[in-house]
Amino acid sequence: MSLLAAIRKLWQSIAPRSHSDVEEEFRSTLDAYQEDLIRQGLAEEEARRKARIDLGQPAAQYETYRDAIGLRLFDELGGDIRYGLRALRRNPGFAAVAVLTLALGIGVTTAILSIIDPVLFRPLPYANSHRLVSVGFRHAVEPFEFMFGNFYYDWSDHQTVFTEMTAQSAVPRPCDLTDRDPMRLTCSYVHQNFLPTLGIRPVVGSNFTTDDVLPDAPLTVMLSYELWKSRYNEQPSIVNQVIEIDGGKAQVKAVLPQDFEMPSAQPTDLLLPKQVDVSAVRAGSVPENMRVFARLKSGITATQADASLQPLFEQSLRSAPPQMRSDIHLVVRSLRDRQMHDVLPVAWIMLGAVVVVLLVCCANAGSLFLARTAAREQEFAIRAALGAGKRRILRQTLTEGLLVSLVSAVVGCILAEALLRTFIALAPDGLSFLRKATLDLRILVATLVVAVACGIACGLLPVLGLRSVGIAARSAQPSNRPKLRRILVVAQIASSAVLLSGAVLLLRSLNNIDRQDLGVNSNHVLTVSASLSPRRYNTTEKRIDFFRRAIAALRGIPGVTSVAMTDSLPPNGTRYWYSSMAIAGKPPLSSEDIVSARAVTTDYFNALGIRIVRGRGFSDVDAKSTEHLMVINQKLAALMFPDQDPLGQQIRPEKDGPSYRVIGIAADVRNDGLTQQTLPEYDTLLGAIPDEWTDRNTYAGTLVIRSALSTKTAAPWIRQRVEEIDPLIPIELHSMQAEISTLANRPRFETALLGFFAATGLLMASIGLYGATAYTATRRTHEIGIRTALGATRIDVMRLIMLEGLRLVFLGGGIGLVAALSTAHVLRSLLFEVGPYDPMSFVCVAVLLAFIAIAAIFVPAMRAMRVDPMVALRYE
Amino acid sequence: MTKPVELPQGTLEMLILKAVSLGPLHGYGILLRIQQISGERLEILQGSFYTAIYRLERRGWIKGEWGESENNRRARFYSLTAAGTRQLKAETAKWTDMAAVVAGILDKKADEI
Repeated sequence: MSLLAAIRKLWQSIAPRSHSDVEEEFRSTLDAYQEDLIRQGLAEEEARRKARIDLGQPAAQYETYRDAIGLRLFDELGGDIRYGLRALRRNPGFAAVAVLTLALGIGVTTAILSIIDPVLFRPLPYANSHRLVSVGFRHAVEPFEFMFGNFYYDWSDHQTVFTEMTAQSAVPRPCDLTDRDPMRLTCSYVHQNFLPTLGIRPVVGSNFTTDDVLPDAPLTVMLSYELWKSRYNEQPSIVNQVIEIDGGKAQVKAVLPQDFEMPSAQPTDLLLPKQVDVSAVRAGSVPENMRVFARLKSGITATQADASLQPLFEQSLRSAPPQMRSDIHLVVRSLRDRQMHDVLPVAWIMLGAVVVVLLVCCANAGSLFLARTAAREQEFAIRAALGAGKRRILRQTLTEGLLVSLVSAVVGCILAEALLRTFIALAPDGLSFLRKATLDLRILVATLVVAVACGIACGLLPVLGLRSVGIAARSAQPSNRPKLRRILVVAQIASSAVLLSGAVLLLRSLNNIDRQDLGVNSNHVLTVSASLSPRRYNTTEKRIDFFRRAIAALRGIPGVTSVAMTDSLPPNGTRYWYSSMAIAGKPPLSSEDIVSARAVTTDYFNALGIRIVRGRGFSDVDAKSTEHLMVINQKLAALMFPDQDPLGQQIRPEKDGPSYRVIGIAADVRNDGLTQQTLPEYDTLLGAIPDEWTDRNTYAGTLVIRSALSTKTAAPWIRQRVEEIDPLIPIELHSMQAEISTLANRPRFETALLGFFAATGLLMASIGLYGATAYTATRRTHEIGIRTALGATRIDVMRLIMLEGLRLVFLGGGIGLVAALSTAHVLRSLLFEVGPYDPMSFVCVAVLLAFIAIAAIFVPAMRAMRVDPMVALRYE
Repeated sequence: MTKPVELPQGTLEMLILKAVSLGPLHGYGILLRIQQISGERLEILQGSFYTAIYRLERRGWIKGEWGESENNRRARFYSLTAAGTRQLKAETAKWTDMAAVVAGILDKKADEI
């Protein structure tokens, strides 16, 4: 109650007085004054008149009041808004088109902003994330920097630029939760100071202790929030309970926060302490491959840290083989750069493209406003005559611009939500950051800023060319404003040309990707990836047995012609250092090249339809032999044996490993991803030598099946056969063509996105061009009438109008093509087998642009042509 | 009748505060009071008069309340608030200071400078 009273009192003290209150007071003063005047001898009517002349009209008093207490601005603004709304309602066509145009621009911008915000701007989910860096060696074999254990400890001791350094093991490992209904998970191993360095505190429980990381300490584990939620119902009591991982007991230490992600951006379910014998690692006797992250001391940049670490790096480099030293570099880069390294260019390109789209839409809305102002000059002149200053009229148009843009912002947000959902649905797995995109407050504020900027632009543009508002505005020809409009149209055409050439380049590139010869015949090929549990398949024999039985069982399916197993499937492969390869009896080759290696069973080349160029592929006899055999690709043959016959040569891939006899040369097959150059490759046989199986990752093998059956028919057969051998093995079955096509999802997505931008821009530009031409045609109706009356033919009239439009098209197109050529290089990293200056693409753009532009000009020109001279002469 | 004086800007509000400080007054009463004290020498610009009252009320220096006027008419009576009293004091001091300084300068004879 007392609170209510207090609020009422506060309100009374700040609320303005009511209209009647002010008026009543004033009337009472007026009356008193009037009575005094009568008393002084004036007649009543005279007194009444004089009182009002001296003190003012009671009706106007409230306005005086509001003016006095500073509310007049709001009153006028309210008036402006009401007036603006009325003006828009009077002209619903204009309002709808303007709102839709701006909404399209704002919507697309909002959607793209929400997508690229996590990539470019949003802080990563770590405390002071801008000070976190990734540190390590860089070599062409790996896209990400890496580090070896012995160097890590050495660097930690001697560095002076970080407050803390921490490490995780290089690759997360599949592991099984085995206590009740078993589950395949991903385990990551981290050092004790991992979470504190990142500035992350568990939701429940506490960090690993220094005892947890000692060798042979009892195993402890942290759960991801997701796992905690799905499997343990978010019960805090899970802490200190014991769960079973790969058959061993592990005590739950803590649960990670919901937004936690590994700085390496790899998904993980369990976090385990990396248990190492530090002295052994320091001595280099236990190799440890890791990823290192560090927190910069305040005031130190990544570049400074890089420079400061150079001496340590040089020192570590001395232990590397001399011929490799020049290929290894030190990398210290921000966590964002590391996480987003492959999407950063795309994000910037999208941001650039969407800004262009927004500008094109704004220009369109701007010229709509411009056209409307031209029609409203009379109204402005009347207002000016009634005493409105230039500033007052400016405020009016500004209010109208803002009204339209704010309505557009609302419509745009709805559109953005729809677009975002579409984008997310279309997005390939590789762009996982896209799933983080949401329209949150941050984005909405950005949208509002964009909308207000558009509104101001649209509101100011029309008045900009208006030199003086006054009676003159009515009579004078508004000569400089069509010019402004033409400038806008030229800018629109130029911007669309830039977008269009980007889209065409990506389209050509995508076409190249889809049509390229991968070197394999993926028709009628099915792939089955099976991942064996490391616990149940703990010996090489068990794994060999599984795959042998699976191959035999699948061969028995009617219609299947060949079955093979491989540890990697083209167009992918496993990259290895090239420099350790040697031809037996000769010193190792030194080269910066990377080599791809694959371990396959006998039927591999048949199953994938890979051509053997010379010699032969692996045979069933080879599968029983204990001789080390190898098939190399043409690239490797040319590289290692430029002037020798490779057949029968011995190659030793590993420094202290066995030598392999080359028995055949296979045609080149893509082995480093869809869009990368084919690497030199050698294939070894998974046959009778158990070491071949042990050395490779045979826990997760891919079975390649060539059959005449369709995927649909073959799938149940295949599943059944594999289940007969082991019902617990999770398998993934795809047609190889579908799988290859999935790999192109990302370029496809990028192309679709840029294509959408280009289409939007083009649509806007053609509307703009149409509007401008139609406007000129209407303005010149009288002239056309005279010309026709003097004998101009319809064709002459049409030429007259079209030439004016074409001038804009050529100017805009020319500027656009120059701009496109000078910015095309940013697309280079996204292009496959097409240069950024591909002449064919630019010719396409020019032709397409000209075609659409002429269509946009043609319609108003046709209309002008049909003008009846009699009507035209009477016009106006 | 003595010569009318023109009011420097901003002083009207000070005069209103002074008028009201002598006891609650309605708007017209304030007008009369100022004219009376000044010996009819001040002609207040009628239009700006209420503007000044509104502004003072908004700032919380005077407070308006409805009541009965001397001839039984409903009128709004203004009285000084605590903040208004402080303001009047400050303004008075400032004004006297300034007047003294200006008068002192103007009084100086040529040989004194």
